[in-house]
Amino acid sequence: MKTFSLKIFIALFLLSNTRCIEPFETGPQGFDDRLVVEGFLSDVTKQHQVLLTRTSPLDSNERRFETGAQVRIEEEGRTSTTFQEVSPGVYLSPQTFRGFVGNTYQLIITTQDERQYQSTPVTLKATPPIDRVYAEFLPESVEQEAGIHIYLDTEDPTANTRFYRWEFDETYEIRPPFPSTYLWTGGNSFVFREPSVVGLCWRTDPSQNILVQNTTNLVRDAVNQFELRFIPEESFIMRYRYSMLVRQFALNAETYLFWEALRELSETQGSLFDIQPGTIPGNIFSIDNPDELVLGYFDASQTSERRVFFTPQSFTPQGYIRPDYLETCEENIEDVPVQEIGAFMSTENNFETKEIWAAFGFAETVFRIVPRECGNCTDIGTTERPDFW
Amino acid sequence: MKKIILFFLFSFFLFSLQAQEPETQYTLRFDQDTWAEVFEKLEQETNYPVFYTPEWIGPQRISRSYESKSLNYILSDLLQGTRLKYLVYKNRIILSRDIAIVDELADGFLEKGTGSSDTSRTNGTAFTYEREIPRPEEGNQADTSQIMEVGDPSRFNEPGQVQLSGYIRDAENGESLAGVVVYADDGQPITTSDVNGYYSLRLEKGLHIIKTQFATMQAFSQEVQVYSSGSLDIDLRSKIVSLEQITIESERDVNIMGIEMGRYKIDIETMKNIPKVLGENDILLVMLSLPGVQKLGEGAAGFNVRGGAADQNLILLNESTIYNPSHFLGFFSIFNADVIKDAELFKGFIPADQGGRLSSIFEVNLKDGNKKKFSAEGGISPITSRMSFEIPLKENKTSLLLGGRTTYSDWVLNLVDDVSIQNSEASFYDVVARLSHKINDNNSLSLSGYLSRDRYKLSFDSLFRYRNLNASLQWQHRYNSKLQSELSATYSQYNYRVEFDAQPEEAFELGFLIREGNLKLDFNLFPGSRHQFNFGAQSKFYYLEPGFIENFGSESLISNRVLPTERGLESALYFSDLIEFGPRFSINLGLRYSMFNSLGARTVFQYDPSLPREEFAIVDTVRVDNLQAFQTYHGPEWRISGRYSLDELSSIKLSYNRTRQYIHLLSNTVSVAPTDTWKLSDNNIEPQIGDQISLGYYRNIKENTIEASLEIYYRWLQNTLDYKIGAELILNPNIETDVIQGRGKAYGLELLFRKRSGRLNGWLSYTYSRTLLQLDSPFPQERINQGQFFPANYDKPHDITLVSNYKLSRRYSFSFNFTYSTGRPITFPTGQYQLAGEQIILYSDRNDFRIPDYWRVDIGFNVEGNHKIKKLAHSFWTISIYNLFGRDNPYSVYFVAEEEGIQAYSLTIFGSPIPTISYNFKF
Repeated sequence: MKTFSLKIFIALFLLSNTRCIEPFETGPQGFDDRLVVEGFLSDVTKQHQVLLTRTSPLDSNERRFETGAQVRIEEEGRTSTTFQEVSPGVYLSPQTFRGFVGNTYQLIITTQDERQYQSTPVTLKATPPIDRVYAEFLPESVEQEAGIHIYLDTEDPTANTRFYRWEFDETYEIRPPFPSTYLWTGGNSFVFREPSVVGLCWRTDPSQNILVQNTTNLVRDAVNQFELRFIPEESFIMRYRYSMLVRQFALNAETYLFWEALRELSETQGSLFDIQPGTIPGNIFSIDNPDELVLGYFDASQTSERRVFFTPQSFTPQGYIRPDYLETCEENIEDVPVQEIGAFMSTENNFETKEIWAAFGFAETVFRIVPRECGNCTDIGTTERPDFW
Repeated sequence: MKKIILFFLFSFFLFSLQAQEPETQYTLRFDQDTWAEVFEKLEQETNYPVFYTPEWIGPQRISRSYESKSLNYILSDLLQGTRLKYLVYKNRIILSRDIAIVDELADGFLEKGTGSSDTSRTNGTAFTYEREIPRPEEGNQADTSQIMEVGDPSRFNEPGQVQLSGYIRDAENGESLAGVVVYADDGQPITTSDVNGYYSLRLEKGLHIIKTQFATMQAFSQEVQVYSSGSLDIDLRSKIVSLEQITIESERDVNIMGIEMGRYKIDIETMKNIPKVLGENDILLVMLSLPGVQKLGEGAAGFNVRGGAADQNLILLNESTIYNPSHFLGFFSIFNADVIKDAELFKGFIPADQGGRLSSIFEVNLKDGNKKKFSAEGGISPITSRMSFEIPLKENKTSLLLGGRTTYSDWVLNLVDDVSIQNSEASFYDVVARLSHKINDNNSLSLSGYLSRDRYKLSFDSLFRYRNLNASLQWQHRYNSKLQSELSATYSQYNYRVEFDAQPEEAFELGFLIREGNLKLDFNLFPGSRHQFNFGAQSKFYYLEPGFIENFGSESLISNRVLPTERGLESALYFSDLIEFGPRFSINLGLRYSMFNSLGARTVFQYDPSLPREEFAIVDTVRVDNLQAFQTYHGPEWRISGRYSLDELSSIKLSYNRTRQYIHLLSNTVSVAPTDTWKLSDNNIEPQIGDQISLGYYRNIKENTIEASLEIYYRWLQNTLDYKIGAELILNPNIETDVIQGRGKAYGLELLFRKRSGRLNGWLSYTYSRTLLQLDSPFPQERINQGQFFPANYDKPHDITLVSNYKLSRRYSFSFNFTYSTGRPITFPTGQYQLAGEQIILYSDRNDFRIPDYWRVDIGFNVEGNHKIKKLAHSFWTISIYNLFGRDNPYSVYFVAEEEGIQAYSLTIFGSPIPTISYNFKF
């Protein structure tokens, strides 16, 4: 009897002692609907853009836009430029214009519901040119996995910049290994197409991370070997040719702190050691209610640009092995008789995910089917050759 | 009074008789004789009749021989180590028990009495008389039939009050008893014995009834005729209790009469009435049921007192600092209840001799160890087992206390089929040893050591290990009846390690260590007037290794990093005076002056004060040599408290305190991981300063059966620590750039009703407490919640605790506890947005939401062994259910980014009832 009750006890204990993690209902009242402003004025003559969005509930990744607002940028004591909404939330200046170093600008917004917002006045800061953007391949080490590091050097000899931010657009060439030569047109019918139509694309992506740096602790106002981008060894984006357009902006201390705080907050989310959560306020304020939280930033800065190109061959001396396209391509080749192609394409959305690479056999009796991304790059990139390519 | 006079058999003793005549020498031999036979032989040999009561003598047998020794020699040798005292008077040998009256009697003393011819000076003996009527009923130590005399009758006519002082000890094992209430007549004056068992009362000359009260001891009551200042030592016998139990010791009269407010003493009795978690008595759990003491939730290490952060409590084990008081995520306290003498919490008024933390002092004292007989105690449950021994090495001189506790839940966990549970590990142990040695009446020495280790791993998560190591050496010295001192030297060490190997590329080991050496010299002076002085000096040296990270395993890509060590010296001088202004009014004036030196070797950063505190604002980097001070803070800490008795049943108390704190806990309360690190004040982190005013009203109602107290307080906090948004506390070499110091205020009300006697006993407490912080700055990064006051992480306004115990019979008792508290504040995600290509979470204002309220019901059932006192072992069974209703009390709510958005999860530690059975024994 004693052993019996002991066993019961142990079972009870174990049932109860495990930590219990359960979904927790926060309730809809938790959602905080706020205006998010992203505005930037440079010294480049162009149509400048201001993006107005709103926060989304936690359970939805859909982006919400602030439409119907009046947006203008005022230059201190001079002109003001009114923006026009070209698509939901995207406001463009109707004419090209530019900012000037040393002048002060302010973003002023009136939303559809007559709420007025303005940024703190921002003085357009001069930015030194980018000295060098370069890359090197480093093999696997204790501290890093193998891959290509893209670095930047810059220096302000007048030592007035101190705070830097970068953005880049990366463009790379895509050539699927099995460019599709047939286009399925329904039933068991198909047409021939030129492989080059779907077999050569370019893709351009903006930078995904907040890139900021300061040189305040240095004697010289120089940024050395700042890592803009790391490309893992096996990533196919470096398989043919890769280009990066880097834009450099000088910041003032407040803007730097804003971006730095945002970077820290977004980088460490979900790590083992949580950080103190919170919201980083920007420099946009409500005129009617100064305590209203507005997210985002308006900044003005001179822009220095530099474009660079890399090919995989340039890293071969350092031990770089040109990556494969996608390992999954050869593994997933299927052969389908021509009379079954209609049935095959109709099942499981195959017409959306598969491509007919080629036909085989006597009088094209068998089709060789590959996954879409292995035979057609138009989902990943665009076939329009970039003008700088 | 007539009755007393009737029994007042005034008598005298004349040691000088023997001194003037050549002392008669006797030769005696005892061989396995009982005491009765011993006394018989004595009578035969000396022809002096021996007066004693048979009940006084034990069953021991005595074997000793004396060759040509004086009667005094023989008697003192024979009776050494017993409770008996002797008196040779007029050819009689008179024995008394427990009570010795020791004094210097001056010339002429005897003339007043019977006119005896002898007038010479006598030293160091007792005089007592036995009334020749049967002893009072068993179990009642109060004995009014005997009147004691203290002092010198020749000085009886001198004007002024006199002082009665002495030591209070446990008659069974000779341990000094602290916190015993000693009072004269109907409560005036009243005092409490100090840690050495020493007490002192100021009295009018004349006849008084001296009484004591102590939870576990029988009440003592004695009529004493006081002629002049003198001493009265009191040995107390324990109540017939088969096992040690706990009560909260705010004694009936102390409630009203004691000067300190917001002070609670826990001794081992009350614990039994509190249902156990996993079969263990838990002293911290008892403390948490007191008003003003709160815990963030199950799984939180540490506790919060009067709206203070967890690091604002100083936890002392025999004067050495405990840095982590919890085992296994806070489920068990690290204190083995069997080896603890008592524990005391100071939260309202902190005496001047203690300091260094803002909110409270929690002192835990180990038992001295039984110096008379071997005893052992233990308990066993499916989760833990514990054992302790008290071993007299030399009777009445030296004893050794040994205790140990372990858990074998690892073994239990492995019995289950569920893989995730099998891969969990949880184990801890703690061991304690204490050697107490009484060198002589004026000197005693003790050496204590403590070690606890923890190791746990939940599922495939990280492996946590931590360790407390403590040692203390205490030397108590009594210079004379007025001055005594205690010198303590202590060492504390706490370190933890975390191994994370869920992903081989990110496997690492992370660690932290703190060491503290402390030296304290404390004096108590009883000048025999209205004053009681306490003064001394203390110095603490800190050494910290704030953190390191090492890659773990061959595939790990983590780079190794070590933060530089920190050193500091905290010193204090203190003085306090407890002044009695009369029967109704007393005041305690104290001042502690503390100083802190930040010491090298270190690289010190200086920041541009006109810029936000960020790395880019570093204007200078200075290398400081080893042990060179680079920053010094100092300041006075006033400790003032007063008491006014309204009448015999009620009093009011008022106190003001300032405390300064030079060591801070960097705690990210969002995570459960016990990876909190300590940080010393330095040139960038200023000491925290707290001021507290509290007012209390105390009243005993229903013929003293119910004690009620109401205390209110208001606290001002300076330089409390909080963190910037995005702050990273672990392995941050510039932690000052992530810490913000600001103002705080805390206020509250504490209500306690307590019934101590009867079949139903227990207490009900209600606490209202708020803590609000304000972090404002010209720089937006250092401003939290627009610079407005906001609730601190540990702000839990309402807290209700009911602890009750109902005795069904002498053997069976039932306990029922209820606890409720407001859920703690939390910063909630309230949305998400994109900026510069990043997905960013929007959070509420800091601590703008609260997790659900906490409530829990526990029940327990105790079955005692039979109540025969003389059986080999006493034992009892405890069956308890923790969280009877299986309430899901979330410990924390956290958020994970998933494909559909961000999902909130709550973490509950004990989400279902936990039954436990344990068997406890003592012999």
